[in-house]
Amino acid sequence: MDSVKITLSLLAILTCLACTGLLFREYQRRRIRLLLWSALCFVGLTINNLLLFADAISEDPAIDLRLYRLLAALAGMMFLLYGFIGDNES
Amino acid sequence: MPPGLPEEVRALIYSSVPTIDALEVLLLLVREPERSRTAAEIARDLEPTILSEDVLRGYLAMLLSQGILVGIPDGGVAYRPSSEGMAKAIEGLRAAYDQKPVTLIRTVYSIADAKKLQAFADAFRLRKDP
Amino acid sequence: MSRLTLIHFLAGAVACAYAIAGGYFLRFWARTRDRLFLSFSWAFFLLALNQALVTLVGDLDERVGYAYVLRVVGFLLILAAIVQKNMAGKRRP
Repeated sequence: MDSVKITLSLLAILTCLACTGLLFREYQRRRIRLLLWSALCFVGLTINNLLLFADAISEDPAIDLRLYRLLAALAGMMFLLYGFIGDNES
Repeated sequence: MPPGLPEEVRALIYSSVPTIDALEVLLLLVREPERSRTAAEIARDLEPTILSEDVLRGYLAMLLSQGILVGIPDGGVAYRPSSEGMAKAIEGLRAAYDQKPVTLIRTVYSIADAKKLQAFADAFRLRKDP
Repeated sequence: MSRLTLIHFLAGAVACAYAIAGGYFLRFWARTRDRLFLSFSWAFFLLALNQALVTLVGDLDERVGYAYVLRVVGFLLILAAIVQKNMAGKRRP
């Protein structure tokens, strides 16, 4: 079961990294700000997944990265929502 | 999808009118064809709308590259459509501004949004069309 | 304020943010009919649900057990969307 969890964690990390990379690449090309905010969102989600992975493999119950995971996810989502709701200067 | 504006006007907006400010710049020049204006004059004439110089130059560059404006040696630009089709589309745009301004504004925003979403979706293509 | 209170507060905020993003992606799908947005929408709604369940069901942390599944399905959906985008034909109108 543990190796399944580890594999799935890595998959999540890779997916987020892929999204980050693809969105940054397109932003370099087209300079459309929505792409920047989306890329930054996935940076946050990547960090969130990395910390989740760290938590999962760590045998030490005293290490609880929940707070930092949530902060990373929240920061990422704030960028995304700003891109959707707020940034309409084209 | 809201109907309402003719296809050539929509195409014109897609290629040359990214924002409402860009629309104002274009229409300002269209109202006095062949009259040369510098960026500074345009910025002044557009008041109270305030445009940064960079943004304004960006709009002008786009309009120049689309064959809607021509550069004048004294440093200004003037409206001179490069084709019949272009002139017709511009007329359609003017008519829309006069008769259906709300539809026009909505269309400008919706085309701008559609472009952004298209870019987001396209980002996930691994191989790009040239 | 205890650490746990802060964690729960953030968890609620994050769940809400996921859900709102899911809603926006749903709207984008309605406008563009591009299935990529539908997949993203589902993914973010699943992340929201996962976050909410993990927080509300108490000490069942997302590191362990079944809570994991929802997250994973969410990210797999995104992965599937990317794959699908690259397997579909050339540029659609």
